[in-house]
Amino acid sequence: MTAGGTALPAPVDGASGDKPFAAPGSVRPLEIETTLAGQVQDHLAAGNDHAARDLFAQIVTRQQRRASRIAWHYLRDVAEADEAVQDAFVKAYTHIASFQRHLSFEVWLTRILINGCLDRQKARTRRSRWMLPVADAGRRDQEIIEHATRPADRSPEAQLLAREWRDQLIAEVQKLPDRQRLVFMMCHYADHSTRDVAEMTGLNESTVRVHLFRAIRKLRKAMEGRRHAI
Amino acid sequence: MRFENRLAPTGSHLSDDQLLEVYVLAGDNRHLHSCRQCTTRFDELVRSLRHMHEAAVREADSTFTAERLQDQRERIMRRIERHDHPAEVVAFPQRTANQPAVHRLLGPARRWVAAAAAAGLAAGMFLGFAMDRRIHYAVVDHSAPQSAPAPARQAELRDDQFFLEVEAALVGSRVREMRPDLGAIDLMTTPLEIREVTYVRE
Repeated sequence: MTAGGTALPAPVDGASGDKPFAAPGSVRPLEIETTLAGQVQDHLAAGNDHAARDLFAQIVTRQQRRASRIAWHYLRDVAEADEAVQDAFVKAYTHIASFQRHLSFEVWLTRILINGCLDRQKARTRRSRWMLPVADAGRRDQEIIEHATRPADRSPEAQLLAREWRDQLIAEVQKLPDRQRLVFMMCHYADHSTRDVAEMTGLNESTVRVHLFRAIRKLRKAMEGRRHAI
Repeated sequence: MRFENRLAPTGSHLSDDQLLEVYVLAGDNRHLHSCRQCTTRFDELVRSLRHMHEAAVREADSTFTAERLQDQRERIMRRIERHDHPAEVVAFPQRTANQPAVHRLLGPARRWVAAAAAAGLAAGMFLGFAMDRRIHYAVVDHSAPQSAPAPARQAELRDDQFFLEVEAALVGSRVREMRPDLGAIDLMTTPLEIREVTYVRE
């Protein structure tokens, strides 16, 4: 199969359907990314690096937004999230020979990405133990986001409420225990089913559901009485 | 008893946790079909969770704009390309078979000339250094006492200087008397041997 011979549908961008995340227990059909990854393997095995890179570029285009969202919600730092995404894709390409075609490429990539994000978080914790913060990068990023997400037609009061609500939600998500946070973010932000998350994390699917349940319950309790100002 | 058929402990309605269980487990609770109040609460739950999701997605997408993603994609592809074509390590240049060695270019006679030139250079440098050292020591010997005279020694030197000047004046008068136009007077007097008086330092 040639690199340019595959007509691809537009990448799925965000959640669709009634629920914010994929239905728990739903079986994901074999994604186009998985097929493309198999073709990349074939091209690399045949020594056709250029075609392999072209195909991988398509995978990057389709997956990078989703990957960036995950990394951003994990790290809360634009530059670091950007680097984590780059590292994950490069690692996926360099180790694509070990990818098993009957599994989901998206799940495999996400697993690589999460491991990278966790490593970065650990490194950050180590750094913060020994070093004083040079600049509040998170706040700077936050200001950029505030500026970018501010709709012109919203009153200043509504903007302020929306900001407070979002800040509160972020703070509450950060307060969740590690596993609950991981499961919540994967299901809620990255649109993965509980089965996918179980596959990524190595947890039992029912355990994933319990973590998700507890995470949502905590968040709802914490956010109770707060107006949805968005 | 399956959870779908459990009822809320409060009575005939599902609790918040049970609604959440329906949502997370994608279960189908019969009660939800019949109870309008619980259906409304369930819809509210779904709406609030969707709202959380949308807010999170909007925030992330406003951070990672299309330009940033394009830039990210280019950097990823550059890194992958570098991986496929790692930078070549330039080998140390080796003599190829058709490239004659330097000693072949220089014949036996030329080699002797080169060796003699090198020896001459070395000898010249050695002599140069030796001469330089001798001159250097001589200069150092002559100038050493002047370098740091003590105060008592300075007074002594001033006296010496004074005596030297006196002596020079005396000798100078004699020399003046020996001028050719005064030769006749000189003849009439006892010849005087004029010696240069030098001051010998202790």
